[in-house]
Amino acid sequence: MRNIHLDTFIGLLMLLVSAYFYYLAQNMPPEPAEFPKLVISILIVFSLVIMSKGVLLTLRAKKNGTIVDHYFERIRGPMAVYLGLCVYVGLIELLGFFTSTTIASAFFMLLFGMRSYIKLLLVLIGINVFIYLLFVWQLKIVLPAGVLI
Amino acid sequence: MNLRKRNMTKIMSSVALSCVVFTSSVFAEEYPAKPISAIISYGAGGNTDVGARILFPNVEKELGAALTILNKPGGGGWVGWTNLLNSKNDGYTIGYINTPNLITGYLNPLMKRDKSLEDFDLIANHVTDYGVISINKDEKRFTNIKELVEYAKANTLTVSTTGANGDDHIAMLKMNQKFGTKFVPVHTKGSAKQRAAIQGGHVDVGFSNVGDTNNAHKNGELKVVAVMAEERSNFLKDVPTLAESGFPGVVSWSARGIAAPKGLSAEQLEKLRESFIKGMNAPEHLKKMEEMGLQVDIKTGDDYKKMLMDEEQGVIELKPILGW
Amino acid sequence: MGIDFTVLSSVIAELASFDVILMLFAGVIGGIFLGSLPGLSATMGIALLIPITFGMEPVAALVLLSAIYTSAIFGGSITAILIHTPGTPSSAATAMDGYQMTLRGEGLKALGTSTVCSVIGGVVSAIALLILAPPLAQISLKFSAPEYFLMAVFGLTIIASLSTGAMIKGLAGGLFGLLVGLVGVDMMTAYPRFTFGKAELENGISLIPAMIGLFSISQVLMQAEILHSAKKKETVVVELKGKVFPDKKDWLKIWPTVTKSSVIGLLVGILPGAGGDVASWVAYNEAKRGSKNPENFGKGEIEGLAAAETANNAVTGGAMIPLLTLGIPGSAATAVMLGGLYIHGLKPGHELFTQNANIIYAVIIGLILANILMGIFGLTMARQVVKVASIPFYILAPVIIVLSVVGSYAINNNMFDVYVMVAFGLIGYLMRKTNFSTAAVVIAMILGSMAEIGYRQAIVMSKGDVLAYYFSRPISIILMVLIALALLTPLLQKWKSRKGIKV
Repeated sequence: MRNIHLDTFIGLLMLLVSAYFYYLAQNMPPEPAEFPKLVISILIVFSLVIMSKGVLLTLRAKKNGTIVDHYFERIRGPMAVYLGLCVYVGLIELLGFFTSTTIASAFFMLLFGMRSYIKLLLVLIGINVFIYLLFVWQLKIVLPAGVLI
Repeated sequence: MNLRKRNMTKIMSSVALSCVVFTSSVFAEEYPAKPISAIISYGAGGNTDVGARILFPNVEKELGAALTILNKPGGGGWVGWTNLLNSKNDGYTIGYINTPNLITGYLNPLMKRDKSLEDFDLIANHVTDYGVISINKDEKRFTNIKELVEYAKANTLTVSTTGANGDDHIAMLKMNQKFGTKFVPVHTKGSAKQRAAIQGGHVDVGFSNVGDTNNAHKNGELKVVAVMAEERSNFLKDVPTLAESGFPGVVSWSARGIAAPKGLSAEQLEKLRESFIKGMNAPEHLKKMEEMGLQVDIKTGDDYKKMLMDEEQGVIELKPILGW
Repeated sequence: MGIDFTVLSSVIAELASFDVILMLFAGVIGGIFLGSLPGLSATMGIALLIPITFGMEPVAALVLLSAIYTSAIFGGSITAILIHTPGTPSSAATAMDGYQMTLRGEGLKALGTSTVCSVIGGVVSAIALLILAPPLAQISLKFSAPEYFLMAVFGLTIIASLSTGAMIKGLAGGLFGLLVGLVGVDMMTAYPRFTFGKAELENGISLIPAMIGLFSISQVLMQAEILHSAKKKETVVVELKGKVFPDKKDWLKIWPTVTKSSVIGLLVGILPGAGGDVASWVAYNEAKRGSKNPENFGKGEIEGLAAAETANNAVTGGAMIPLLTLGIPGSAATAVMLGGLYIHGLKPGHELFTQNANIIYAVIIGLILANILMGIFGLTMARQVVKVASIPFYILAPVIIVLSVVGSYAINNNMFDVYVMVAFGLIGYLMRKTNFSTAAVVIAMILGSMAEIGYRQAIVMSKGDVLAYYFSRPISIILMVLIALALLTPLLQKWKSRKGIKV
């Protein structure tokens, strides 16, 4: 697996997604379906090109005994942040916007290496006050509330 | 300094309001005891939104509670309406309903919505904007509605509308059905592009509404040849109705009013209806709406219901043409 | 019509009131601030402020709204340049080269150039509004479906050259953007395409949350790579040296681009339904095509920055031309302003420039003043503002994330848009890591539906012979020539350079 060029999988993924959307477009009446089918058809061609390029690069690496380059060498940090983001957004409607924002910002600050707890506290207060003043007080936007605020 | 002053008065008035609300809720559970949310299914700054923001201060005075606007645009209005129908029917969430989008939205089988007018408690209609037919100011082939219809019976004419299945499109289909005209629609996104298409002579005819066309007509930028209403519009006194020109049976409008999810108590409904009607009759509200070229059309109870039922019936009759 | 100088004294009297000056400052500062935050666009700022202007004098109210309009578009560029987080869709093109300049340590220069170009674009368009409004308004009537289709295609040609070295992936990104743009109820038939039964998808996937995901969230994720890496100390070094004002050498270089982009911005602004987002990409495309070294675009080319920045602000005055003369708004933001005009009893058209001349000329001159004031603020604040780029990432990242969430929510008051933003954040990160172009997705989302609708409308409008219809319209022919040039120039350049090597 590690020695297969990632473009192979990217092309394959694109192909599967395009095929699914093409299937959906098949069930549409002809007029609205025309443009989607055109776009998806070209996309399918492109995914095949990308896939075959991936295969080609894999074969070349095998022949030369080199390792194919991987796009993702340091994926753990980004994935941790992304999971954090998903949990944060999921919590908003459960706990309310301000509570989850406070928890999430504290988590992100610690994750990114904030070491001063005083600073952390100040930033947390700053974010909440700023959003309250601008969005709730001035722009009159009703932010989602959950069990808490 | 005006801005701050206004904000101050706003704050003061909301403080005053909450005091009123507080005392009343202490003495009796009198409705409304807290602010009422009003869902508007279109974006801030749009016609419905601006109309609501002009109206609401006048209603708040009568109601003794604040009305909080929640703009929930999307889905041709249905994001907001779904939201409204899913809220508690405790009288603290109301919303604007706009026709014909509301009606076409649930009648269109493609949308798979099992909703109907029965799911709403109707409070009051606010604005009715009748349809108009307009042509380019330099049009030579036809200069009035009679010539236009005669010409359109023999020739295909392109018609600019503000969207498939909207009121303009439906009115156009009704014309074709009743008078054998050969109008074909060119749908545009919003009234700006629609007006440009008519004034630039890119389409032959425009089907639009009094509200967004009357000013251009007065300025001579395009020519409104007919109003699709029972009587002439106050904003276009020189333009005949379709019926008086000899083409009866096609009336078109888009209307918007206030409704709540079904199940409010009789007292709550009564209070809301009374407050909204009083607020709508306030002179400052009427004056502002007049300036905007919008026809305030206050209807409540059975009148409002009948108006919506009629409209529903009109769309149902068109089902074969719409392919539903 | 022109300016009637007898009106001048009453115009000055209108402008010299305390309220108007206060609103001018409030509009400029508030606009820059709102615009710089992700999700809060000029359109939204205006929409949310309209109720507040109910009680004001018309001049004060309209000066406030137009000042917000132009400065929000400028504000959106500040964060695009410094932290790759375009505040409004009009600044997506700015992020392309602006952020690269910041990374190279030229953040200050980028900010200065952006400010100067924005002011030039804004002032040029406001002057055009002042003296040439009626004839220019006619342009908005000359454009219709075929021209919109061709203009969208012209804008889309830039996708081919966006991701250098990986043309196929660049185009694939564009196709993905087109596909995303197809989601929603089809305007011509009202058929719901790819909506999966969700009402939230019926109006399509909103551009702003998608853009926040593709640009801002992906940027945070990119920088999160320093976590768990061997070199944990690695931080983004941002040098803050340099002059704010572009020097003579840069000036000479960008001058032709600025001129060209002012005209492009003005023209696109005049067209109904096309605003700063379209104008900035068309101008960027034009600048790249005309450049001696197009390969530098996307790598911190000052010309690219200047093109996008001039054009997006030149839209403002342009969009107000058909608004004031015909009542046809030239962009989303001015569509909202139309309501503001009516509320103050000002009806667009001839009368506005005769009966209400003192008001309307005061507003237009107010717009010019707002642009100049915006420039003064921009240049004086630049040295402070540029420090945003050097805020430690452990503070910046959470702030960007929270603002992205609340900004996405605030557009439609809907959590659905937040989910869209989160989804596009991952897509954007994966695309950037694998050499796809996220900008291509945004461009295709902006222009795709414009192309499709224009194409299909033109077929109905032609009543038969479509090709003859296109060739019967002079502007269509010009646009077709431009498209042909845009497609052929890279080939010609390649051919020339190959020949050059041989000789």
